[in-house]
Amino acid sequence: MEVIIGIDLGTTNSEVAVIRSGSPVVLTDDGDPILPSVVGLDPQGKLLVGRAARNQYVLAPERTIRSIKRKMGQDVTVELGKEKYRPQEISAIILRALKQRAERALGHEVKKAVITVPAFFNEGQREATREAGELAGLEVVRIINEPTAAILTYDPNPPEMERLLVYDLGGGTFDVSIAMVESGVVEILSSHGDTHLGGDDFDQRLLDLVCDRFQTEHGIDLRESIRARSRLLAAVEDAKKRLSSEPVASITEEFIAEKKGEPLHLSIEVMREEYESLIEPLLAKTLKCVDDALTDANLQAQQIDKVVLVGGATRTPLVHHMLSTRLGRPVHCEIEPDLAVAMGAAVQGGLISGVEVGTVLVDITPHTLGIEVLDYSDGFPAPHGFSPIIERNTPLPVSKTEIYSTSRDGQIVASIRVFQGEEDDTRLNSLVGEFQIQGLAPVPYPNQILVKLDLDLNGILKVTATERATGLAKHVVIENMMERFRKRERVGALDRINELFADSDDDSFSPTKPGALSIEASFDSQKEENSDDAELRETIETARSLIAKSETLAASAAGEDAAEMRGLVQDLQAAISRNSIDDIRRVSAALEDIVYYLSDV
Amino acid sequence: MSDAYDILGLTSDCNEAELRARYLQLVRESPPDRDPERFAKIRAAYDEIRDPVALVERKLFIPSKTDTLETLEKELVERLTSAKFSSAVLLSLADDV
Repeated sequence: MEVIIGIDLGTTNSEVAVIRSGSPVVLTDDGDPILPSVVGLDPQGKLLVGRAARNQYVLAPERTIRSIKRKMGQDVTVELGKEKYRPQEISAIILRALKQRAERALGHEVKKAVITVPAFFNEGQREATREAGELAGLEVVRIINEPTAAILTYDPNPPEMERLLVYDLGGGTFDVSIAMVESGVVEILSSHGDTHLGGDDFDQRLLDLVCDRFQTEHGIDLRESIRARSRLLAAVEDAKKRLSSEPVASITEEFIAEKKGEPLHLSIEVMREEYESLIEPLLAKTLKCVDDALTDANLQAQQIDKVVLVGGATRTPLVHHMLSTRLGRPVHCEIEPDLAVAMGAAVQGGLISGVEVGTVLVDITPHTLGIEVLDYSDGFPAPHGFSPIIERNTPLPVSKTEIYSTSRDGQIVASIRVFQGEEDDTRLNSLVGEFQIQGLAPVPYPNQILVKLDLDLNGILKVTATERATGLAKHVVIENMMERFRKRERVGALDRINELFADSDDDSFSPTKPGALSIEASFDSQKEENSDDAELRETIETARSLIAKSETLAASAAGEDAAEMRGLVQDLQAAISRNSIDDIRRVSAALEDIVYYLSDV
Repeated sequence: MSDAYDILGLTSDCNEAELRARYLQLVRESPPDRDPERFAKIRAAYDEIRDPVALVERKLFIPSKTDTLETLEKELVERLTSAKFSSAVLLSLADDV
């Protein structure tokens, strides 16, 4: 039987799981189940994926990409090295690393996968995810919703019917889903969410707090320096985690900036209450979604039997507090919040490949689908009326037909524009696709037209418009609303990804020889400074923080490495005193290699 | 109206528990993954039978062996505690009285 792997492609972290002897198992590399969703190039232009890329982010944010999931489905590019990549391509690199991990663990090739997405992702975001899978060399047999996947790790045969509420707060997205589990059938009743709300936003708020304080004290905005910003981001992320268990966290970064030739250090204490007041408004938004999901499911809070927490950001004590207060019951954390989604994806993969896991899943579409109509509800025609055909929270697959009519005598062409969203005005919803039905009978209006929407489990929508009187029909299959890569672009994308992987032996970091001097000027920062002075200042500032880091590391490094580092530190200090930007960069690159190598092991 | 019952293999006097049990059984037999078309039919029939407005209409206008005012009232009271009616539905019921 062919193995179908389950992948949780997260904003911050990703995981891959398979079914082994009937149960889902998360696959690890060196015992580590988590692959940070970070992609980068090392100073030699070699591809880094995962922990190695994340470690380098602090030192080299300009050749490191994180949180790409937030851009999925958008028509944008990100720069990495000299190339520009679509979000799908960066996600494809992460997926390919996971595919390789699975192949190493299983000892054979893997071709098929189930990939999870936030329940509230729209069709465009789903399609981008599917495309990323294909670019990674995987046949994506199903895209499933993350909270749904988490539920699949639960026993589908509780003694009595159970209603579960899954609260999934990840690095970049939030979902809430309500499910009913009974006699082996898992039915999703409703889903709500926010595709741009997660732990990353907590970090951002904390970063702003720290930067504002520093600015008040020193008059320097640290957010303006890409290096300082990336260092601080790592620092506040760490502080955020500590604040989950401690009442206060201190954030200390040396040589973070410079004023009148004097280096400035940052040292700030943040109380948990302060932090909580920063994120409270964000959590309030999630509670609104919880209320909406309950309303859509026609349930009261007390009818929920279990509250399940998924996603790393649910470790925040305030989340537990606010949620249990609102729902009037304790929340459950018995499942591993970081791994449950990948495990559920593996269960779904097992279901599809025919492994008996004893669960049947009935999932829903979280967004309403309909077409644009002339809206006469105010007495005069408004051109952007939205007429729903498939209401949100309808189980999939589904087929629904509505009757419309032409709006003027002798109308021979009707334009069918399909939208997804909850607003009465189509301009506020997202366009899924459009086509025209031509050659209608030239009769007085109203000439009736039946519009049928078929939405399948993979979110593929088939639209059929039929002239009722003649039976003239036209249908289109809309696989996505977003412009797909044209074939040539797609080949180009595949080539780019293959090239990146060809340069690296595998997804794990293979160290360059410590001390091998890189002559590549790898600091071509994308952020252009206007004056040379500013550039020099930033370079020196970075070099100083590198020196500080090297000195700490040298104390614990092996003799040879330590000696090499001390030598380079001296060279670097000499270069700084000469204000020679080229020398500083050259020596920094060499030193950075060693620092980077040592901090990774 | 009877089509929905035919699809589920039930008679129109079945109760809520019978309906639910039968629906779950059919979904296990025809999961959305394996038999999407059959599932869509089962689900549409299930939704149709559960629709509260359709239910009241059916009970009022289609004769069946349980069709006495007492049983209808009893069943409605039972359902009202478990299902939520929109205010529009309740008002339209009040108008009929």
